[in-house]
Amino acid sequence: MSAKSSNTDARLILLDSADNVLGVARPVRAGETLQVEGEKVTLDQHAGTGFKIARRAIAKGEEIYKYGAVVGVANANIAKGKLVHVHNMTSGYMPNTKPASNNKQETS
Amino acid sequence: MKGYLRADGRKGIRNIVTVVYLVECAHHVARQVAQRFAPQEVQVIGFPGCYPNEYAQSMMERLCTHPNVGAVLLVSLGCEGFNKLKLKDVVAESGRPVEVLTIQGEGGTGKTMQKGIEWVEQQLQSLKDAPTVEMDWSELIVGTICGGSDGTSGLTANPAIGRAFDQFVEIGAACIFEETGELIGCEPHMAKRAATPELAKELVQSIEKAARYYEVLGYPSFAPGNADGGLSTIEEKSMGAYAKSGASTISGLIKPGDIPPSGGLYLLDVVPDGEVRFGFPNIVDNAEIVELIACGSHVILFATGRGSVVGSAISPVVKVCANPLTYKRMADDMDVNAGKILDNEASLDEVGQEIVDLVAQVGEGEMTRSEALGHTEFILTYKSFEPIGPACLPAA
Repeated sequence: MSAKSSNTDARLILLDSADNVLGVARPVRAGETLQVEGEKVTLDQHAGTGFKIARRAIAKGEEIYKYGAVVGVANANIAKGKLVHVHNMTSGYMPNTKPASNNKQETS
Repeated sequence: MKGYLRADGRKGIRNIVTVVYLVECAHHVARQVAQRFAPQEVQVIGFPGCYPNEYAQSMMERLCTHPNVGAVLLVSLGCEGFNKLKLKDVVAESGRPVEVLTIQGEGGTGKTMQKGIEWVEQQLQSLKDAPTVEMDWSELIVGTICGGSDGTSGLTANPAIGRAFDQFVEIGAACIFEETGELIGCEPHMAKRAATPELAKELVQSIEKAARYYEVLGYPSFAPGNADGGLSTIEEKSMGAYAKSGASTISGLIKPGDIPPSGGLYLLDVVPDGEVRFGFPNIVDNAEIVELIACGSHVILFATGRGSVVGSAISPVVKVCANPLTYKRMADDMDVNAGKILDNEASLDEVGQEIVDLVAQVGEGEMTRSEALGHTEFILTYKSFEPIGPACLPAA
């Protein structure tokens, strides 16, 4: 499923069909124009390998999907083709770091 | 694949002699014995502490009776705490040749070395013509780990290993993924993949335990440097490592030394139980590899971006290189170039298939790069675990 749709720039990689972001396989510079699913977009910021670009418009409050899983929540509206990173998304993870007390006995 | 049939019914894809130091004080003698032979045939393992615990004892028992091991030489100083007679009995009961040499009793370094070398020579002679039998995928256990990761690991090598894992599980093999401390944030997703609701609860608790443990150690899982590599959240970072597990149903949760009872996908919980006691759960990649091997892994799939070079004693390590630039620089150390996915030269599915095919060849006896280069790293430190609960394994 890493097969790229031919209408997306070869430097972007889709990890799962449910994802709303594309992984950056090879760096794309700010100001460059590239195809994202059939649409021409101009990148506003430099995106190095391992960064993410919006595969479609993502509304504020929407979950970000990568690997077919939720990896965070958008805290701003993100236009298609824009960089998705700490400036417009945040963690949705709330760890439970209290020791389990219900059934499993932890020895000390 | 071809396997060496052991008395317990398991099959090994290698037939090595292990020289085992039972305390650091016996390490030199063990190393000197092994150095007379090829690293592909004779390998050193051991436990360094003078006061071993239950974990150390059970790990050494599992490792010395691993299906890839054909014969075992135990090297003792003499005054250490290790229960060498119990270990010897366990190995003897497994049908393997075993010998104990005690340095203080033999009369010192030189005499023990000489005796050890002679014993190993004899074993190699008798192992030379050991017969092999057909080995089925359902008899194979594959472990996976990532180390020396970079921004490419989660894009190429890890998901490609996930594709390979999906195939292995499909054809009946057992697959093990691990490092619960690197899976923090994945537990909701993991719970959905659990075979039963009870197992889902166990999986979630193992991750919560890891989160607590690392919090006490003062090591947050998401470091500012991660964002420089394009990772935005803890769950995104963890998902990159978690991608190695593929998409199969999770059949069980095991702890170091537990052997998967049947095919399927298992999470290995490597974080000790109880209060934080012995420091870092795993001080280095090889500590995780040793635990995967103690769970019966015949072969280890190692995803690396920056470029790890390690192999392991006992089981071959297949290096899957995530970064095409690293591959170019260190091709001699790498078995699979997953980085070509970034250059649009292959898909994740194709690299996954390449990994499956390579494991089949390694199962036929073909050496991995780290084996050919003589890598036989090994490290074992203190830990303690409670036994797994009844909900952790698939119903028989």
